[in-house]
Amino acid sequence: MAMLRKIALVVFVFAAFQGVCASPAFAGTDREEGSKAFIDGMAQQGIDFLGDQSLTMDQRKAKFRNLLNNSFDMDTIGRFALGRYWREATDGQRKEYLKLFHQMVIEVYSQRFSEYKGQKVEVRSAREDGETDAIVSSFIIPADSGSEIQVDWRVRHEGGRYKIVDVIVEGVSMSVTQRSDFASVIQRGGGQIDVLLSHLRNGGSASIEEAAQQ
Amino acid sequence: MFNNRTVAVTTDVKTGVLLLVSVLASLFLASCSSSAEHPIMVDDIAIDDPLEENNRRVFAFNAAVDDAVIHPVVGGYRAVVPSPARTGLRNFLRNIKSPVTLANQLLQGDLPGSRDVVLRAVINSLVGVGGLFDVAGSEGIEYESEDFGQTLAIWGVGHGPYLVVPFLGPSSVRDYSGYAVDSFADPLRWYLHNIDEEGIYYAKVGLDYLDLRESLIDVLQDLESSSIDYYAAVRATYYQRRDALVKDENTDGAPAIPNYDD
Repeated sequence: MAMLRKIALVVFVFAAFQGVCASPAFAGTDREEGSKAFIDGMAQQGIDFLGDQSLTMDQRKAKFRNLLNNSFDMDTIGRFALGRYWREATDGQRKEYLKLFHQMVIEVYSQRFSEYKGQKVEVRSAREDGETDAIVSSFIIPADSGSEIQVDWRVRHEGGRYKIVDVIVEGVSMSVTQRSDFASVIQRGGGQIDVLLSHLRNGGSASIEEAAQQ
Repeated sequence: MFNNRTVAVTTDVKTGVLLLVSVLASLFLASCSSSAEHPIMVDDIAIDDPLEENNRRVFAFNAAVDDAVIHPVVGGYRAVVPSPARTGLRNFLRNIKSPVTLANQLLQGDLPGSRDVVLRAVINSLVGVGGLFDVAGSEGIEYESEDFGQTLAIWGVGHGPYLVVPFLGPSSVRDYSGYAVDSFADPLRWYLHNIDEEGIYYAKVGLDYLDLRESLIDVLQDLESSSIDYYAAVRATYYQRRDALVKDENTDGAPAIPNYDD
């Protein structure tokens, strides 16, 4: 009898521990979980077209454009990147700028498709930030023995939709870096927004020195 | 013999004190310098770049050095040394830097961080074959990069002017001073100095440099292709990356993006 009771106790304690371990550790809020699932899905889409060897460059570009339009709030990112010069820009300049900015992002990142070498994206956590946003932390895990890269996504939840408004790689915000770049171009161009626009028209990625030689 | 060494060490201490004094003086002067009418902001930090024209020249020089020397060298390093061995070297270099990292964690008052440095050094030295394998890291005790520039930041010292250093690249008066203090205070250097093997220390500095450049080469190429003004993009990246390191990679520092309603 005593033996049986002991076994029952051990089984019970074991089962209780199993239960604790199996229960999801602190499920996040709806916005956190939703944002995580959104980033997970977006990353999977990206990996699918990057890893699909049957696609041509143009097909990949089209898929990327789709992904960008569906998952990123490009107008917000573009407007942020223009910083205080947005207020000074005319309606015509704003419209052209947003169009050129969009094109530049597609061109710049298309050039990097070939850098994809089987890396995986692992979404690990999320936390709410402000009224509408969540910061989703993910890690890019290389296929070889290299080190992981932390990528955080600022996801905005509005009108039932999720949109990325910033990408932060190892603590470096792409939007902030872009804004600093654009501000410097405009300042060194005598405060003229048109100087930035002409750089963007000429392909964007050409450096200032190269453009000056043209 | 012993006397000679004492003399050498005293001269070294004198140089160190002089260095520290000049560092503090330049930081003080830096805090007094005025900034531009519309400073370029990186998140909430105004960039102070009074030496911009000179910095741009050094930047162009460094870019030329990168093209001519660094890229071929890193390319050769990658071709000859496979990725696991490169990771092993990185782990090893991080491990022998532990005393400096620990000192900075303590000076920053980061006790959990200090404990992790000690645990990592012990585990990786013993189980990780002299630090070649980051066993502690795979058990969840992650590496944290610490240096005296970060310690100064925790103590409330601002960056001072942005500085592009020949061969080393972007820095600030604060961070470059911190780098000098770390190199000066490194017990490994003192030890090798005392056994007349300082050459080994310079070899280690060379390997540090090779490892750093190898880790940055792709990032910088991406940044160059995605920016119009590469100099400004590197500068913004430098400030943000240093800020993230000071905050120990905490995501609380993610910049706010406004909600534009019109």
